[in-house]
Amino acid sequence: MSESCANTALERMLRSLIDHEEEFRELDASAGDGDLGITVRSTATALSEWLPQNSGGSTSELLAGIAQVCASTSPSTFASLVSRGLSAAAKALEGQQREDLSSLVVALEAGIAMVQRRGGAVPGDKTFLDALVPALEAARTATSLTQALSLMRISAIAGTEQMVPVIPQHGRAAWVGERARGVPDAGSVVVIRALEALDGTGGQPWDGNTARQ
Amino acid sequence: MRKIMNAPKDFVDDFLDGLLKAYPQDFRSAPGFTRAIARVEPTGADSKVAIVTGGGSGHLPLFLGYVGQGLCSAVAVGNTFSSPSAETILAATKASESGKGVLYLYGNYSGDCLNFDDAADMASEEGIETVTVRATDDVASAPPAASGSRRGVAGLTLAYKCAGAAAAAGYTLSETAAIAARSLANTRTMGVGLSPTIIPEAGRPTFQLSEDEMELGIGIHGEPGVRREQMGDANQITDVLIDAILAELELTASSRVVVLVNSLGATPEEELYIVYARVAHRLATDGVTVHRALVGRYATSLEMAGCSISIMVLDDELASLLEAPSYSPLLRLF
Repeated sequence: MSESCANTALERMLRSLIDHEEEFRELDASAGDGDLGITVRSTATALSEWLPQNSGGSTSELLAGIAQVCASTSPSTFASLVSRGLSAAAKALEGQQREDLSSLVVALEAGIAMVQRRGGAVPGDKTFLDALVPALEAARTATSLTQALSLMRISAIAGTEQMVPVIPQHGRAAWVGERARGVPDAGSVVVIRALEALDGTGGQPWDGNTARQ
Repeated sequence: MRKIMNAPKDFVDDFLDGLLKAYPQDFRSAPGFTRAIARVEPTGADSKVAIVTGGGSGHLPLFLGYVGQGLCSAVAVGNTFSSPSAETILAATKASESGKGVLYLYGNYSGDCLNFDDAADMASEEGIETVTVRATDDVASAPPAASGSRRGVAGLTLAYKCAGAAAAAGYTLSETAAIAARSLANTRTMGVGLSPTIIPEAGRPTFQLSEDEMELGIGIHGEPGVRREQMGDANQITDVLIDAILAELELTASSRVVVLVNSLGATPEEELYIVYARVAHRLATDGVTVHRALVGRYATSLEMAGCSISIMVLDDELASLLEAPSYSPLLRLF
């Protein structure tokens, strides 16, 4: 992906995340404290302002910069974990000149490993790892960057929907136990909305309501 | 939503601005960090273990109100119900440490744990020793087998008091941490919510309750409790909370306790005293001695109605630390 292409995709993603604030707020309120919409909107807004002035460097530098904005704007659990994951991804890409499918996989592997290590959750706990890990597995099977983004979106949706009937095992949602059954994990839905916007192939947006039980 | 505020996004910075202006003799912000706030120590004060706390906003007097004499040394302030950044925590650490090390004492929430752990790493690189103790006093948030994953709520009040007195008395960092940990190990809390919270920036309630319902096991973030039941009278509500607490404390006729009846924000003191009367009756029936009681607003969830009860079992050392002098302009302690 060329630099301008990547920036356009990022801007599209940030806009979409801001537009979905209410969806994130409501999902989070049903299991947690309802601040996820605010976290995502304020972080995405700060990134929209930061991005135009900081887009000249390498992918590694870009990811490290985004991580810094995520850590300082509204460092809730979600934003803090995303920040740590992006920092790890930036480190994994340090010194790499190419921006191809293999570097996407390397970045995802490093980022997800860090989120697991720092957050303490594992796939199946009903956290955003249940969207991210299937997305990584899909990226590994892809033959192009474009195809990877499309497959990642589809796999993240499948992974999230699979967890809807499950009781969360980690984080704040686990405290409400049985009552979080039947509702998609809010952080996973953020991943889905981000991937939808990044995936230039388009397609019908995921209907979160039909996923509820 | 009816709230007295300016732009919702400025809610935290605006209230901090007013609070610092109201109590300039007590609080100061760290240079360059308006959300890292330390106690104004008297000039010539002896060096001691610093206690740094922090967490999201929306809980006053928690967390900021516990910065004071014989209490915490500094606080890192986050957005409403959202952790402060690691940089802010580090700034609070550096603004208050005086060479004897720093105790990080806060509630067990994943965002706070992440950011305090990162701050501890950064402090260590700068040669500042830290030890972490997290409150997990809310019995409703996980079964006893998973008590380490419980959230921290009003029980922090008693841990701040004991650990703060220990630090002021010259205890070392590990001794101060041990006092904080023992205070919390001896404390259990459970709460009930009667109305939801409205996060200023979200502008709407986090959940809906009908007139005749109550939310049992509620935390201090407007998150749903563990179950919803028909509203009862004060004695019935108190009995549900106290039964859950006593089931874990194994009190005997020789036990001495501190009781904390805490408003979650909107519930008035009159109602809290009605609750306390029942708690006192229940404990007296079991022959338990109430050494001290605290009734009021200590850990809130904005305008949520409801209350929590905390009980802490005392030993001689904890009892004497509780009696030590302390002061914050936001608190009524012993």
